[in-house]
Amino acid sequence: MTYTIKRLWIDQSQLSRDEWELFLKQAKIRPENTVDYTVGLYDQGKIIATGSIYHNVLKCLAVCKGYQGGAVLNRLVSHLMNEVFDRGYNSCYVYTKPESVQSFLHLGFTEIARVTDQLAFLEKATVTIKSFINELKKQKQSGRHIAGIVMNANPFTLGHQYLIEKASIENDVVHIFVLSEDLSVFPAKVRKNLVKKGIAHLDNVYVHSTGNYLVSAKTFPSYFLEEDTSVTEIQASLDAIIFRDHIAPALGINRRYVGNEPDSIATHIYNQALKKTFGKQIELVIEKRKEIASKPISASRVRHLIKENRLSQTKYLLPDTTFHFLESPEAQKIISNIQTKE
Amino acid sequence: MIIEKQAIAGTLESSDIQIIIDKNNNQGIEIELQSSVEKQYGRRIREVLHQTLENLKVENAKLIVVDQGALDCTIIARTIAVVHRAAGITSNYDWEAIEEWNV
Repeated sequence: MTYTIKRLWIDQSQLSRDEWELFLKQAKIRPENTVDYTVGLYDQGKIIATGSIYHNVLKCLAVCKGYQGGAVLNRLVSHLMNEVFDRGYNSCYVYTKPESVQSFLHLGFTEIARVTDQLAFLEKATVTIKSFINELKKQKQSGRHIAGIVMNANPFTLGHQYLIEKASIENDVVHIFVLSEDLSVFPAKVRKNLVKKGIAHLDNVYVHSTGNYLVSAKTFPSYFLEEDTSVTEIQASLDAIIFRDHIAPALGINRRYVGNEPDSIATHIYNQALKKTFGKQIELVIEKRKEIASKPISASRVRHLIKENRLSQTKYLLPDTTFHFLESPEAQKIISNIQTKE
Repeated sequence: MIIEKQAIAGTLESSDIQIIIDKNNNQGIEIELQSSVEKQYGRRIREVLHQTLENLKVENAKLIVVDQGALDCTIIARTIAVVHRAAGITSNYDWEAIEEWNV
């Protein structure tokens, strides 16, 4: 049997998009907007399967009932993987329902984590989570209380610095994870560098990247979750499970510090999920945010000031190291990006 | 040939083999194989992969391989393709050199 693969231009053709959305809905998968490449598989002009890519994540995969169980899925996944690796990524991920995990294991994927009967996260790569963890293990420091903090630091503020300083006093060792995904206005390299500069005075703090393993909302496949299930809760649970089962053991982390965010329901749910997942294995420390002028310091507040061209006022929210960077020629492009886009 | 970057060749379809290759910093040849016929042919598949890499003069490489019951000729063809891609050769293949050992 020969099937043809065709690219679906769902961003350009409403007809294509309608066909695609209808097909996904029949498979009980919610169509997503964050896809950048979509194909359809056809059997004599009739669509029988579809799949998409967003960066190096395969998503919105659906195979028509009569064609499930092998050949069609293999053809589809092969095609999408070739596309991912052709783009220069060295890893490929899938979010899928737990009942489909077996099909992907058969295609050489490895399961990294799963949220009970809701979601599984799989990987195929030459540099896998195992090597990521092995790299981390080399940087393990001994101590009784070892803390972990995950931050985007977009950019690094006095609030971040305050949280780290507090953790530094209360623990023997502190490991900071800066998100590696380049989806923020400040590039990953700049963000990590500013964190490093901002904690240079603390001798028990170590800075790492999150790699691909502390996931972001962008890659989260809300599409196959029932509407009434809280998407944020499941994403946070997955995140927490990866942290609990892979990252924390590698470095001996037994405490995780987070900032509270009184105004954000999402952060509240996230912190709750961390607490529930960690149980007694990891202690969750929720710190009240540092305030300036009776408002919590946050990176979004800094970006807001930049946008309004009130750069000099960010001085009160930022460590000198970050503020100096903003004044440097290197930062001008980022600043103009914030002023025109965000 | 020197593996300069990661590359992929082949598919996951029945009777094919998918090979992802990457640099392996002077640590020799490392093969991670998953096959639907591992018990019957696992040893032979590794042998063909090693032999083909040797013929292509690849000394250091890491391979992630998913086999769906490929014949030896398929394994050789996919290996030749993936090594050339990883070495950055996309035209003017040295067919004569390949024909010398691939008979």
